[in-house]
Amino acid sequence: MVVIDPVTRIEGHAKITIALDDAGSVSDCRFHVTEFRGFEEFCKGRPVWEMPSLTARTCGICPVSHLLASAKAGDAIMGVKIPDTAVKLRRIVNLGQIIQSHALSFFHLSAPDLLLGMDSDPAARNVFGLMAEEPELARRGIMLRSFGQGVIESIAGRKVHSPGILPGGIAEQMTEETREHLIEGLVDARKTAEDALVLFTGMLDTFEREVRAFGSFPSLFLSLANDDGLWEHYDGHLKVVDAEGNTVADGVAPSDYRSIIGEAGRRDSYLKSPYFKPNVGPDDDPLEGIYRVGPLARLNVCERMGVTAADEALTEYRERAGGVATSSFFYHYARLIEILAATERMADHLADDTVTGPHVRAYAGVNQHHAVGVSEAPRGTLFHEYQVDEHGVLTDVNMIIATGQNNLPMNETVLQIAKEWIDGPTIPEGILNRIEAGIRAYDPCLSCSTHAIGMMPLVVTLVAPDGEVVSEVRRG
Amino acid sequence: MVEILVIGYGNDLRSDDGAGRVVASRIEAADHPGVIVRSQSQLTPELALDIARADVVVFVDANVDCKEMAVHPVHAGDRGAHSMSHHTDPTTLLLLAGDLGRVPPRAHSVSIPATNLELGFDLSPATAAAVEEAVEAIAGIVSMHHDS
Repeated sequence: MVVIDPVTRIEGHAKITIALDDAGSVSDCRFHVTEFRGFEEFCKGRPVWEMPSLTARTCGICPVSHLLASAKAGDAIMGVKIPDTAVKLRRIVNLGQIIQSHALSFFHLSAPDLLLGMDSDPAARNVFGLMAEEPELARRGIMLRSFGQGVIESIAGRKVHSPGILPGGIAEQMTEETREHLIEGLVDARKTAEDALVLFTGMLDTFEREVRAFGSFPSLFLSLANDDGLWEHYDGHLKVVDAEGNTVADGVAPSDYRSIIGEAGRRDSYLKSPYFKPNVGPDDDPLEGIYRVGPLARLNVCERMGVTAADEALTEYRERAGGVATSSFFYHYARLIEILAATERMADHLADDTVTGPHVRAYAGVNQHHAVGVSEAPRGTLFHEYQVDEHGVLTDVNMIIATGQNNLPMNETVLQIAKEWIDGPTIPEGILNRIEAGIRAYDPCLSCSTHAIGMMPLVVTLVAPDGEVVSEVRRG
Repeated sequence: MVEILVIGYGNDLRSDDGAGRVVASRIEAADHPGVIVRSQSQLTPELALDIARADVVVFVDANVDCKEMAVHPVHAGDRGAHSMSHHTDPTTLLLLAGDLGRVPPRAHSVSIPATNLELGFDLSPATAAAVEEAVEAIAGIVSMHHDS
């Protein structure tokens, strides 16, 4: 058995166990998440009005996603339709979140592998090595991330744990000064996204083996969708497509998510394993219902991005993928297209004069006792389900986090990489890095998916059929 | 005027772990001229842009390994294996700031003793007392640099 511990350049704690068969070949693999936070229990007894700012602290990485899902659940508890201007501002802030998060994932965490090489010196295979080799790219990546954070701060009031997104809408209207400032910043942001796409597509052919072995398998794909078939990140209904692009479920109201999503627990990980319920019988393995969420899924679910440059990029993306993208290596590619789409969509919203309108919040008390709020986090679809009493105090909470939904796919990805590259009882550093990079393709945030907080070291253990540990590698 | 950047960080849902952010809010409320305050759940890479523009940077964090409030100089880390994730540390941020422009001439680390990291909003009495000392120490750093 091989164990990788810790996995680096991801958020949280995890380890990987790889089992060998009698012939010494890889037979099975487990991605274990070793932290636990129990955040849902902590939320019980709190007023629903506090939940956006409270749940945003579940995660310092994508707090806006929790703010939005929680605020939308709050809207439903109040039974209100929030003002159109508030919807636009929430959409803008989520686009800022997608930009900053994807920028970090691509430029800081994965670009060292892609540009310096999977087998390059691990001591330099980081943002500083990138700074030495590609200083302008690294600098622009940090600027792009900073722009996205600035969008969040300017609308929501703070980069992390923003107080400006509330049940009923947004706390304050956008000023003309802020609007002009963001429009100015979009110019560089879009240029960086376009240049990164050119760079990525230019080197994609050199990663043929990684495209083939980094989680390249049929699965379902789930995301929010809208009636126009356009890329959706904030509202709409749930849609599921298969690896051939066939629609498996569509028009599912977010409040009915339990009709299509089941959650399985495993003894060896704190990360739950959601699955597509209609495909899994009572005695079936949850793997029968494996689905992926996040950028890869969103681009497979939508028909078009709905903006010019990103639609051109999507056309090339689908040509390169051969239709539906089923390799998780394409998560990187999808992220870059989403950054580009986010800059274009944001420009459209900011060009609309109503975006600075004064009516940004609806007011009401408790009119419903149960609600579900859903948004697309950078990593995938995020669910917040609340049950409240007559005073709006939470009596039950369930959250389904994007990284959790990618748990089964991450396991399959690690297994595929291990089978492709591991041969014998030792793991060369470059192979270890490929296993980690396979997980990093999903940009997992284990801190909120396990409702845990911390850093993400990783152990890989290689175990023989009799349970003997053949080798173990630790990092982090 | 010398620009001083104070970065308080920690998880304010984890009792004493949020001490750095309590200090940040106190420094912000004091409204010292030339002082910019950032309150963060964790240190993130783009902070290096702000650090590269500052003359003095003060990192404030809770620390379970220290017994009393302490102020230490902090320097850019050695170039080598830095595993930057969604969050990072002061020495790595200073190194990155150098790559983006310059390392501030002065950088300080303020450590606040923490004993209770359980879920909760309140500071333990010892940490609350250390927060007061930290606020005073940072006010002293501000005065020292503005008077020099």
